[in-house]
Amino acid sequence: MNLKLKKLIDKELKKYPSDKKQSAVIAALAIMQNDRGWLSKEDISEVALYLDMPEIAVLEVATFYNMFDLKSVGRYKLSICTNISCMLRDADHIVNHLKEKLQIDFNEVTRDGKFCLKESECMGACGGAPLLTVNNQKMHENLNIDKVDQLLKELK
Amino acid sequence: MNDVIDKNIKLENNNKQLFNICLRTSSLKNPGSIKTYQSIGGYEQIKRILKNKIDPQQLIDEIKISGLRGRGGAGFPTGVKWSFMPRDYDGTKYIVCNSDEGEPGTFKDRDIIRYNPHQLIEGMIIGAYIMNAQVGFNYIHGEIWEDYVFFEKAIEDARKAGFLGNNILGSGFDFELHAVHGYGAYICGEETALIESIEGKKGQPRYKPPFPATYGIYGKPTNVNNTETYASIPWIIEHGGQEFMSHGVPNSGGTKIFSVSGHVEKPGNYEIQLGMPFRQLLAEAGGVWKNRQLKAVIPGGPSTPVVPANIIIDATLDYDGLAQIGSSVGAGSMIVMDDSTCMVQALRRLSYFFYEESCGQCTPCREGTGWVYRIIDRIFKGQATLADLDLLTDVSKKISGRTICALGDAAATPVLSFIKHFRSEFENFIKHGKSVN
Amino acid sequence: MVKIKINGKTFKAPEKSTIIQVADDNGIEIPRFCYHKKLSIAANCRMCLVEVKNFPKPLPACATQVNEGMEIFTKSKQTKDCQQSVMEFLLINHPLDCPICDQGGECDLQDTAMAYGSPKSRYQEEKRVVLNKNLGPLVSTDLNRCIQCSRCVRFLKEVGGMQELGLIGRGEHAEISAYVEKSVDSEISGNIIDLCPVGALTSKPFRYSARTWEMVRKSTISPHDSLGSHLEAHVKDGNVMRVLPKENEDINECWISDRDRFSYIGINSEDRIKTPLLKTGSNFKPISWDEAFHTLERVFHPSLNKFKEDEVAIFSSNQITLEEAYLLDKLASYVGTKQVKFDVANNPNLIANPSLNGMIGDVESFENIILLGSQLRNENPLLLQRLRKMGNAGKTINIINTVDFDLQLTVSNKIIQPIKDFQKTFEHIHKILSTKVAKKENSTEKNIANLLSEKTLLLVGEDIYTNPAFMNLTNVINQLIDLTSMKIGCLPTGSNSVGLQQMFGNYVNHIDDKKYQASISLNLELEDIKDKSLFERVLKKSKFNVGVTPFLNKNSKQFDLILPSTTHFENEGTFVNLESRVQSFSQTISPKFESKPLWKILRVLGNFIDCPDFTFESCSEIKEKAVQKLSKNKLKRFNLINQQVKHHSKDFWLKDINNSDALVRRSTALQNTKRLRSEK
Repeated sequence: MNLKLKKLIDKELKKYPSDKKQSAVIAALAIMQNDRGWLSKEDISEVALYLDMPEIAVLEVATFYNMFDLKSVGRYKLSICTNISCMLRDADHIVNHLKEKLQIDFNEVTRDGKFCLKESECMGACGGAPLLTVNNQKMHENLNIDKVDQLLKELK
Repeated sequence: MNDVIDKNIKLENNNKQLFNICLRTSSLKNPGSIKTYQSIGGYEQIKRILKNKIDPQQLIDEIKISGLRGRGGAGFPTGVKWSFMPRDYDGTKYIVCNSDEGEPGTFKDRDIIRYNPHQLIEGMIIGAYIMNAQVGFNYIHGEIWEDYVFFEKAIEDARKAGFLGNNILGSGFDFELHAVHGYGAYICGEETALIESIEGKKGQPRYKPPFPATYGIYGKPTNVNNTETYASIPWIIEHGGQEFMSHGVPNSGGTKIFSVSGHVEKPGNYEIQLGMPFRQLLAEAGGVWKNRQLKAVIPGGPSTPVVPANIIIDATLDYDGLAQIGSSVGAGSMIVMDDSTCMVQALRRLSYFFYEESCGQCTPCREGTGWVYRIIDRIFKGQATLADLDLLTDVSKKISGRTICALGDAAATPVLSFIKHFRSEFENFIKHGKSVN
Repeated sequence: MVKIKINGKTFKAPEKSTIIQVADDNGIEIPRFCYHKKLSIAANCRMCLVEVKNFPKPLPACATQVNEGMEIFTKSKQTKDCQQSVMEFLLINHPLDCPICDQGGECDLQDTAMAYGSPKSRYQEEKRVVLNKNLGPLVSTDLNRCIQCSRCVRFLKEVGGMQELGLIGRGEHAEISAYVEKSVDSEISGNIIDLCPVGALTSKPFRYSARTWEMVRKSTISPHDSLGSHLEAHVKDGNVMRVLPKENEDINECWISDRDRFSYIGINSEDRIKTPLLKTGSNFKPISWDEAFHTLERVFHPSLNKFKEDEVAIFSSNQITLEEAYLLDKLASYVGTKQVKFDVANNPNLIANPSLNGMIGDVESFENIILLGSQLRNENPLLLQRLRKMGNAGKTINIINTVDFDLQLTVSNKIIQPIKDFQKTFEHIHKILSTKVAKKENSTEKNIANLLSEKTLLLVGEDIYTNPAFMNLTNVINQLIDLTSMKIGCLPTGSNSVGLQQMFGNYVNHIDDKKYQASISLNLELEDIKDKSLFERVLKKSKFNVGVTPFLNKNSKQFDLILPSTTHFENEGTFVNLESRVQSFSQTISPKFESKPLWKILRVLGNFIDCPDFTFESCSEIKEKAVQKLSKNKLKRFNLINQQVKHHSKDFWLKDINNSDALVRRSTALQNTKRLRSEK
């Protein structure tokens, strides 16, 4: 864990009492994942050490919240919502298009290691359905085939 | 078909309109900035309260008069809930804003956070003053990351302007507010799961009692309210409880955001005066898309029962109005389905959601949601018999009411209501092994 | 007290008690899986849902407190429907592989399914598959059977003090796991086998070896530490198949340590000595017991061999029974007390009556504990567990020690320093308390000083009260006792340390590095001895060495005569535990090969050398005499004895819980635990 990451985690730690470091575990794991792309066993151990937690307690958290990835997800993880509001607005078309275009199924990574496709649950932005996020952070709404193609082009 | 709806419905005998309270900055330029909020009188209420040291009880009474009810779905009267917080407590008390909206069709809190964050912040400061809490958290759904980042900045701006921190506006009142985020767990919208999550644990709901007001974050008294609830507070304090109440109908005071999604022309958030007819909201949302017919509506999110078009069409949107037709306001997450919708497929997706999002803690939900999904999946794949419909109903009933939190009930609701209202469609699907809609 | 009704019958119950507690107290059956009286309440299995009047939904009996007038129905239609449905849910993903499951016949799930379940399942989908985890050499996993009750997770976190297991994943995919490729290393981990209500966690060494109904249950007392835990050995075909705790709230509650549970594996070690052995040249030849006793007679019969002062050395284990100690005492007097030097593990006491000085349960009634130099995790893990409980309940646990052991509990104040500095520390504390003027001081010593009162218990570990440095410490501690009324207690380690101390009093002594005419070692191995090189030197110089031991060991070659004694499970007798409680146990299995219990060997030896009044027929006859010799002095202050000790090893002696005696040392399962490997 480099100084930059430590600083980011320290900023999160300030939100909680000094004897409740565990409170920052979700944020710390998110910071780690954002830096590394996914969480390895070593990353989880590092967070455990830094927050003074049993490793298994960190693993419990990392496996409970499904935006965490414990396997490589390529350079860009595309999480596409297929829940009811998106489904009603033809998310399945977008999914099929993405699968065909990238030649992968859900939870697979393209051969060049660039894209991974994840089926996601409701993201709380159904007014913009159908939608997807890139690497958990950037949301793209009101998708159609053209928009998706454009997005794939932009993601280098 | 008798449920043919004309989307250009005529409105008679109705005075309910769209009315922005929580979203009142949304039409302004730069709606989320502290400047914009202050330009419409923002933060004046907390200033007035602190300056005059207004008695918290007086403020709670005002909120009680307003008829404001918890906007996260349970609809519990806010004023009453706030009075549960112990007044004399030696130690830190917490207030939490629940912005972890993740129930399909729910997206109202996001718009408050990105278009009117300071009204929410002011609402929380007023709440902290009333409940004498020193620390607040806004727990934001991890998937709307950009809005979380935006809210962090809003907090920073409020702090710089002197509305947060120690000795706010020289009043001696201290309150610190932090934004925290989830990371992909619907169950964290349940208030005790959310508390566990803030403590850095898996989001597994706690058994209640004790309730958060006595045993919340780190075992300290904690109040949890929905984003929209907190955001309503400054307006209520400014205009008075009676005024807020008068925007709604008896027992359903004020305005409520309905998030309309699915088969409408203009999906989005509509803040309505409670009591507005369904027809009118549907018209505001542009009517059913592609000139199709309305088939069914889930009025408040999947944990509220689905209602067929012919029943909902004459309903009014308020707590009693929706209860009368066997459903509920919930979080106001209105999912509109047109006549092309396959109810088996819709239920299959919803059941998969509850199966996927069950925290796994207690037996009926952990085991039952998977079972329910698999039966519906069998129907969908043409591998079921008619007896499976009764099995589905029975299993759902045995989850409902027997779990630690309400997710068990929520998982059973769509199954029971879909089969109740659309049983023949399920039977036809089973007989033909495919949708014969 | 509140009045409630269960099934129409009125009961009085303490306020704040839960429905399940009231039902349990009154013999009303409510099925449960996740609830355990010693663990936090999870309310997750939902098996204990009951109908309560005026509540629309059924309530979990484990988590619902009773209120005045509450009416509960444990057999109503709603309750039965809940029980049946929860049972059905629990079984849909359960493999129902009872015929090949070790839990079969003693399975809560099986029993509850029979009593409350429905005879047929409506589930026709595929069952969940969960990969098994390697948790180490003691606990075996069959996670397909797991019902996610989380008892094991809660036990390790709350009682074991360290979260070593978790439920990872969520929903239907939640599964029990340790951290990636980690084993469960708690010294009391085996209790999760008992806690698991299904066959998901079973004993690895016991796996597939016997069915519960094939075994005879025999009670015994743990020989491995001074707590005196109650054990139940399960015997089949003359062999101990497994050892389980026997519940005793005052002593071990419902737990036992891993060495209590798995030491039995050592009974059938290849090291077992089959017959007496006599040294001939550099080899041993098997001889008969008769020949062996004749050999002893020639050495020890007073008419054949008159010893001068300090010519016989006896080294004994601190696990020999009270009866054996009594016989030894008699034999020694016969040979001549001045002639015999007696030594327990080469680690003699420096003070009179080192014992807990109170009952085990009473420890928990104190508000503050000062732990002075002990290795509780190695010495007495279940007593440590009680301290952990106190820490969790907000009481203070304070530590002064020479080594910073990780006790896995909440420690309020801690001072780690060389033993020579202990005196300074206590003098400082005394000064803080005796100086009237409150000095501005912010120190750990001051924190500790402020805690000293009649609500404080100072517990002194064996490492300390057997160390010469303690002699300089007693004075200041006694002054602190006078000043603050704090209470004191000691933590002896052997299963019969207190019994031996009371039997032999002050003449338990240190054997000198000199030439003896003869030595006898009783159930003792080199590893059990603090000053190992001294022991070896004494044996080297001594003319005739007798080793009484069940096992061949590192120093067997130094013996001239080896007599095969039995292990604990083949013996009977009495231990006095650390709270001076006298506990007898009977034989669990017959002696292996030609081995004999030590008390029988001593009895026959006495007869051979014509020791008077030595006609005991049974162990209980000896016990009757032996208990009369026990003294029961309360420890109010520390009184020094044994000031004549000339030389004494000052070295710190790190004990390993899994290397504590000959039997434990030969339990392959315990030897394969990570704990031992990492500390070696």
